[in-house]
Amino acid sequence: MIKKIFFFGSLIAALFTSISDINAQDKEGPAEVYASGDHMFGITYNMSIPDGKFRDFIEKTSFRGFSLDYESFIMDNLSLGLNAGYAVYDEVKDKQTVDVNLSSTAGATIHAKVWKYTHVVPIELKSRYYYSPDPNSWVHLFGGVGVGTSYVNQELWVGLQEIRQDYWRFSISPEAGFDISTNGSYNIQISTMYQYILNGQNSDEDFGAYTIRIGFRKWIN
Amino acid sequence: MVKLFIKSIAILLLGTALYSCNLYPDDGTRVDDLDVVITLYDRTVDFGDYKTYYIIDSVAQINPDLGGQPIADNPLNEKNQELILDLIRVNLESRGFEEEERNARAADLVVNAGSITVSNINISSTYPNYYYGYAGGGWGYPGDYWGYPGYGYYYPWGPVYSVTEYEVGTLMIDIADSNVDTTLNRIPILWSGILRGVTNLTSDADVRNRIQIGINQAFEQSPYFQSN
Repeated sequence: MIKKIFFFGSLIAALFTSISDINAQDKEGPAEVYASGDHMFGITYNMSIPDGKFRDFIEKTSFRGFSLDYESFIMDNLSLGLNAGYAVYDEVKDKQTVDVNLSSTAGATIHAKVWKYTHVVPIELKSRYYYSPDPNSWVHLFGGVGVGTSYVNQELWVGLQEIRQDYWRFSISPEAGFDISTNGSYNIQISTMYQYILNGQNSDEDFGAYTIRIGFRKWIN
Repeated sequence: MVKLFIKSIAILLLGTALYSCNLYPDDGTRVDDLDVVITLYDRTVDFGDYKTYYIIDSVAQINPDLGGQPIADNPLNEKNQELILDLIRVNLESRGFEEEERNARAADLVVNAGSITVSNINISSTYPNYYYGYAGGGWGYPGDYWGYPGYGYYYPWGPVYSVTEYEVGTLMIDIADSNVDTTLNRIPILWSGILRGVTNLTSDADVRNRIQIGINQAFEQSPYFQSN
């Protein structure tokens, strides 16, 4: 899990390093993608692939997720903002037999069809840096990271009985992607993000998921 | 182009919201998909040491509101009683146990089956592992069959904790060691089979089919339960 965050972190660091190299060579500075003072509102549709310990619980890709984003540019191309979203993962396991050791003296075996669910609601502060290789380019790169908390609700249904646990946990979400200009009041964004929630799986294991995000940003100032 | 893109995102989000409504098991789920077979057993026991069993010749309908006493009006069990007892016999005999028909105290094991309609079957978990059963000790009368009236059942797995809102019909099979604990006045249960849902009121043929599948499954998932 840490390796994946490191990978995304390195990707973003490489992007920033290349930007500063260009800045050093180009006295005019980087091309402006968004200007200081811009305010943006965005909606994205998210597909998420479970990873790590979370994958032991649910393997199936979630096609049910979305995010709402607000970004405010504190300087050219660098934003601070808020990200909130929702994703639900689900998986049905046909009748299966599970052995459970209740204690040193008692054992149990259960044969049942099982429905599993995980609902995730991240609320994170997010910073992003945008970079355009050329002032006239309509495709821009961006990298960023969100840090905050995520609400996780995990449910296991056996027959009509339900075991549920829910909690709030620290979360961090590095992200890298493309920002595509439409020459209008919207830009299209496609990105990949790794969502890491500390102790977000089964309360004491780490939650991980790769997310592919596709959405748009609209200027609201 | 941009409008088309935004429309696509809106459709995806709407689709997500609508599809999310349909995630959970509900009235459209097949009843037998909700059936659960649980077996609980004493891990300290070598089942191979036991040779004979005695089976109590009726299947009691337990009313949890009457302190675990059987109730008189028992149409569902009367219809299926022979089927339930015969299936238990067939499974035990295929595992090398012989029936002792005369009395419980002459047998190594005593088998008792009953059904219960509960709105609050018990459950506990060390998530994501899980198990559930019913809190032990609620049967009331079966000590009489051993000649030890007033003895309670002792379940080594102990009572478990509850979460549920649905009323379901559950068939329970308890198998005890006939050597009761006379110091503590209790009958040690070695194995319990809990067939949750099978006695729900669907068609007779369906109930019988689900009872058969459930009892066979309970023994199939207990490979340790074998006489030498």
